[in-house]
Amino acid sequence: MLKVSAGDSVAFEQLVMRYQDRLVGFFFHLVQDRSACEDLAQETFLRVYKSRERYEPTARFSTWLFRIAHNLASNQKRGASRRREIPLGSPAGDDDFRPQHQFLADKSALMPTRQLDSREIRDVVRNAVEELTEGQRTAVILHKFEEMSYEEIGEIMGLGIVAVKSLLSRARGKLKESLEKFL
Amino acid sequence: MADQHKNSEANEIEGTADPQTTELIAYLDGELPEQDAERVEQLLLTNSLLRRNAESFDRTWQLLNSLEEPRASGQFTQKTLASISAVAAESDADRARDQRWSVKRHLPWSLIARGLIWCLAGFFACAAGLLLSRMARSERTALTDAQILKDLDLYLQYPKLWRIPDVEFLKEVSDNAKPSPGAQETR
Repeated sequence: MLKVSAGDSVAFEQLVMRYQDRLVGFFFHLVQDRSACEDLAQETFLRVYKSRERYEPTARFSTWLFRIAHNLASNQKRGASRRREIPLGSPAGDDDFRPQHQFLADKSALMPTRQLDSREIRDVVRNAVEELTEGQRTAVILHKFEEMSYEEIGEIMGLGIVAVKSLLSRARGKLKESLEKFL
Repeated sequence: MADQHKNSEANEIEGTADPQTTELIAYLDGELPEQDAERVEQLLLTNSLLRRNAESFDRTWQLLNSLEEPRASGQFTQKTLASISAVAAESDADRARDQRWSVKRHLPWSLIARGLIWCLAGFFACAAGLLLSRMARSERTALTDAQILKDLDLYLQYPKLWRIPDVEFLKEVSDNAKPSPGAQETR
């Protein structure tokens, strides 16, 4: 990143290649939209490029990068809710809507011996993750898929370690509640 | 807006998270200090309910591995770098335009400044001219006044002298009063 700050375009290309999959994955878990997650990842790199001269190596680069990504995702969500759009990554607000994991649970109850296939499990888990609040989901994704410590998650989300602990505890409690029946 | 967001986040965090569960999760995540971790391990050995709970948390956590982890598409790198190049070119163009604009903006100002300087110089020159002429006039007046002061006693003694316009007139009168040499001989 220091080379990027000095205007090295080759270094920036390497940086994009190194982090693009992680960023796309992060946004995909948040928004569940392939095209949107690439747009957001691209926007994150653009912001990194624009603020490259202000970068100070006080924290790990990945922490700085994901802080930008987290802010972008939060702004996007706030913008979407201001425009009264259906929030990204959340179930639709239809009263008749039944979460897929509930539907599959009912279905499985009718067929006790039936094993859920991997695709169904994935859908169930995805719906359970979508039911988490935005903050809980972000913390879970950063911890599970980015293998970040509570401290790093706190730096990215602007929270203290105790708050992150509490956030993850509640998130995992919710996940357990939603997924326990499929274990 | 940001405060509202922080508040809702804080409310969410401040909600009732069971301290024992929080500690258990932190233990499973390897985020507990050594001493606390040992204490939780002891509890897990003796408390079967807590052990079952821990296993359940762990298994549901492992279920997240089933989520797909998409990778960036093949064109992502090129598209990203192209968009960044476009932005960089745009910002370069903006910078160049700003520089041109600043030159254009500075040009009339320099002309105005020069005009102003010339005006000021003209004003000061006029002021200096006026001052000098006034000084010369006042000097002349002072000389005349000094002459009057010098002859003031005479003027006061002979008020009629005030009617005499100037010295030239007296000289003329004096010359006329002198008898011509021819006239004296005739007498």
